[in-house]
Amino acid sequence: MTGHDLLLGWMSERHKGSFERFRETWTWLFREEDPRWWRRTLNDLQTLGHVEIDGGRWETATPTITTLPNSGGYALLCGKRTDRLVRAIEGNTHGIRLARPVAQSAGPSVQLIEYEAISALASACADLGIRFERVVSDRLLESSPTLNDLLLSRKIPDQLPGGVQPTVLGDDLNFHEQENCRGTQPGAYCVELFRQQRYFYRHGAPPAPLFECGLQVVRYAELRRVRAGQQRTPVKSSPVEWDRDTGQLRVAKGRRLPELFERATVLRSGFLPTWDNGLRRWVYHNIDEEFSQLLQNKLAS
Amino acid sequence: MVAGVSVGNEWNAALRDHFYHPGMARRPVYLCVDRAVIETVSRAYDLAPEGQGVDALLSSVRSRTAAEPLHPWFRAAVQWKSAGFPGPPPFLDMLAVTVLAASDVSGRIGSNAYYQPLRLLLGLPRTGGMPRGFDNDISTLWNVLRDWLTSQDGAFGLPTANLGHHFPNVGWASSQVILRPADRAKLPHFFTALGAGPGEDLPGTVLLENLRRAPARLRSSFSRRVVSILDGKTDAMSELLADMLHQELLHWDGGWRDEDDRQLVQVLLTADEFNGRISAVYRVPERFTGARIRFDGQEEDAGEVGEYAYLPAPDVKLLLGGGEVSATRIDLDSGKRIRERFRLTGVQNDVRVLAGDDELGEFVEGHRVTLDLKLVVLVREHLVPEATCAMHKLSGEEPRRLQRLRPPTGWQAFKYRPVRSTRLPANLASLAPRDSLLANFTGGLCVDGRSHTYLTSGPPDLSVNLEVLSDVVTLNDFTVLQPDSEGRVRLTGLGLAEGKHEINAGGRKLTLRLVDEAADQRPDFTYWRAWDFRQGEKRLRRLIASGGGVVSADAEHDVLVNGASLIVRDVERRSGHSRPWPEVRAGGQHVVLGMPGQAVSIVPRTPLWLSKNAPGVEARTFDVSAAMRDVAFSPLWLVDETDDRIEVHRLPGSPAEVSYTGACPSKVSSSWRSVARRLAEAIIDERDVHEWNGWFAAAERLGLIPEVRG
Repeated sequence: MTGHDLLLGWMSERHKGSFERFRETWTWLFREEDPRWWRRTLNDLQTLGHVEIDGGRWETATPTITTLPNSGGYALLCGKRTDRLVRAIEGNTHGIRLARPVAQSAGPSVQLIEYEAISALASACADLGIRFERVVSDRLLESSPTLNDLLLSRKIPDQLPGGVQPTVLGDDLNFHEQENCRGTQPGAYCVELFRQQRYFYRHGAPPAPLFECGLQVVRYAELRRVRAGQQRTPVKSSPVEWDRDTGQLRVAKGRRLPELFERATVLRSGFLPTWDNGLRRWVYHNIDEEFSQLLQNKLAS
Repeated sequence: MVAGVSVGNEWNAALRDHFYHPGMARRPVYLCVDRAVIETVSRAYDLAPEGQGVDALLSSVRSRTAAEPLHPWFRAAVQWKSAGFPGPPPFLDMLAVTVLAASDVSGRIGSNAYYQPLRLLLGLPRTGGMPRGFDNDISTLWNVLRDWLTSQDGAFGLPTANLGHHFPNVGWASSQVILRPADRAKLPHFFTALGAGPGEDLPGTVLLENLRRAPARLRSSFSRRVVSILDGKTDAMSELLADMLHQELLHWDGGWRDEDDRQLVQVLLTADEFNGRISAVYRVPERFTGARIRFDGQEEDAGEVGEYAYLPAPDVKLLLGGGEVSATRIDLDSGKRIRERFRLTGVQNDVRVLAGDDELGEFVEGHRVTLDLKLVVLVREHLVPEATCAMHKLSGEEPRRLQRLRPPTGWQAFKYRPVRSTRLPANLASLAPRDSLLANFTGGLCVDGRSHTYLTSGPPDLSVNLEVLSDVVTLNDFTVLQPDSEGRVRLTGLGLAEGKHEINAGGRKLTLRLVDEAADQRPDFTYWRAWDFRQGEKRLRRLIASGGGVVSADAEHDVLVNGASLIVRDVERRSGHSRPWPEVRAGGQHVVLGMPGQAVSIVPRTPLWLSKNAPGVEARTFDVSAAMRDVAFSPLWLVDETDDRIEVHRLPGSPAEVSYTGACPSKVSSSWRSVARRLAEAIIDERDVHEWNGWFAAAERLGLIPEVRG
């Protein structure tokens, strides 16, 4: 059992908690790791559909089995994963079986489910009190807002909050201190309050609106703004690449997909994106052309 | 009134009201008397002319001493007790004199050092040692006092007098004066620094040992009397002090008080880095409910209990220097304006550490310094070189000087983020994340922190302070645990079973409970993200995302997401999902058919992503859409053939009406020849029978079906 499996098991038994408690537990489990990575793990757990985050707290998500496209006959178990639930699945009478868990380096093991027929899978879920979804990845992406809509939904008053100086997104896609920055220039900003980072995007100087979104939404919006400024035309090219031969979607460093899109993309396989050192890219798996095209449209509009 | 003691009863009533009053309910109470206190009591209760309080008390006492000097008070105490404790304790004046003697000897202890001043105070000849009958009488007086306090259920305080083991008779009085009110006011600082919580039952010896090793700044803030006990090796005084520390922590309510026993409100500095402003706040205590607060003539509502309230126009320089602010609480209860002066006080330190606070949106004091926390630090100028060096050591980079934030003259502001912990000199210790000085649990898969309940798969580490650990660490009374060089014991590797386990580390008993499961059977899943579509278009109206609140699953939104659960209302119908590609078993033979005569076998393979990420996991079915990529003609049907069964599936995208007017192909593939023989017996979904019959008839017309159908 990996550290991430223990972490998911603990979260499932505890059900909900604060970031602070999560950080303490993470630090204890991964004492050799950089202590700043705890937040990445929490985000990844959300991407995998195991937890939801709200403010400074987390809660495990509804146990769900979803079918996967091009899956070889396997479905995926997401959400709260207690020992009791695993035992219940093992004891089901609908012919569904737990496959051997597949370890992944940055998250809990992927738990695939063998099934004979989709109808049997759906019946088993109904019996076990597990939610059943058909190919949730594609349906989620299709139902997702566009990048612009994500921004527009989080329009806030045109001043950054609080008395904490923001850091500014640089060319390297990291946030840096900048002397006397007040967050009034177009750009992306981060304000850190205790352990909570809040991210902001400004498309133009005030009174142009300010948007507060997730880190990757802000990064993608800023990337688009900068590239549009350089080209003096709306950006047409996409920051994501799709490879037909491998069915992989690839993005450069610092460009992991915005959370909602990343969740849809990751739920195509159940695997978090992996870093390919040769390609210098994050790689998402089991992506077909239709999905890739829809994703790129969502990011561009 | 008890016979024979009426002369001193004014003093008894005054001493009772001064020391044993409802304000001391459920708290340790000390008859901590010295000459100044007696004058204060005398003045407050108008017992003697100014400056003659001590003489008046002594005169009153001396007038009643007998051959066995304390015997009249002994008799009065016995009668008072048997009468059911009416009025004030009739012997407090005598007890006060015996304590005054201990107070006068100033830290020295021992029969000789004590009895001489006591005899003088009682008007007895200087020599002669212990007054006659003193041993029996004095213990009776203190015991009756204890019985009275206990009978009142602690409503006037909890008894503290303690004889100790080393100096019979003398210990009673000494136990009342070792810790002066000013010392007791410092104890919450010590307990907080130690990591001990209100009401914790820690052995006095452990507390004493930790006080001996406390940072010099904290230690030296205690009176000379206490410091000399800490420095010295006097077992008798140490024992008494240890017992008092134990009692104080056991009955500590978590609040701070001053030496006059008034509750203090802690003032916290804040830094608005954005606007370059330093301010001060306090947490509104419960007793401020519904009150108004007046600062320097400015009156305002106290605010919500438990929340921050800003001090209007605070003197930052004064507060940075550890100064206090006075204010008045005006209680408007029952229409009366009851005024109470109170003080707001902060810490006295040359290094002030502030962390970003979610609630206030500014950097605020009072947060525990932990790793990976961005901090604003205010440092006195003379300490800047040392402090910046320490911050560099802790963060791995040079701390940034904050230009915009302008602290008062003599102070500088920096910003840094500690990523490692290290031991620093006492005057800089607040910069570094640090563990409690006491043995404690850290980490672990904790499911209930208050009851120390952990999952069996993740018991915590035990963290002990090796510098103060004086005894072996035991688990369940027999297993001896060996801490590593950092003072940690990993309990994970011990294979502890489900149930309770007890650890004894340096006098501190810690209990943990291990459980295999703790999850609620039917938890609520409350964190749903939601958004809507407008007018049938995919146009977002509202998204409740991270940090923006949560909605319930039955809320009226078009889309709701929780983990991998997705609820889409009315939208999927509009989006017109196309017919799904069939999934077929990996076994058997699979042939894709196009126009009659067109056929190609496809070989199911484990999807690339699966074989790459999950080696050893074999495909059990395969997704036809993935296999279609290599088919050179427009696929219409998929044949799934095993020895005893042949099924035909219509493929998505195939046209509803197909015109089969083409000529017969000159050559057909082996795949066609292989499958064509059995097509007549194929099972087909009833929705597709019409199209299949049309296709099959065309194939027959072209002579491509070797045998007559059915």
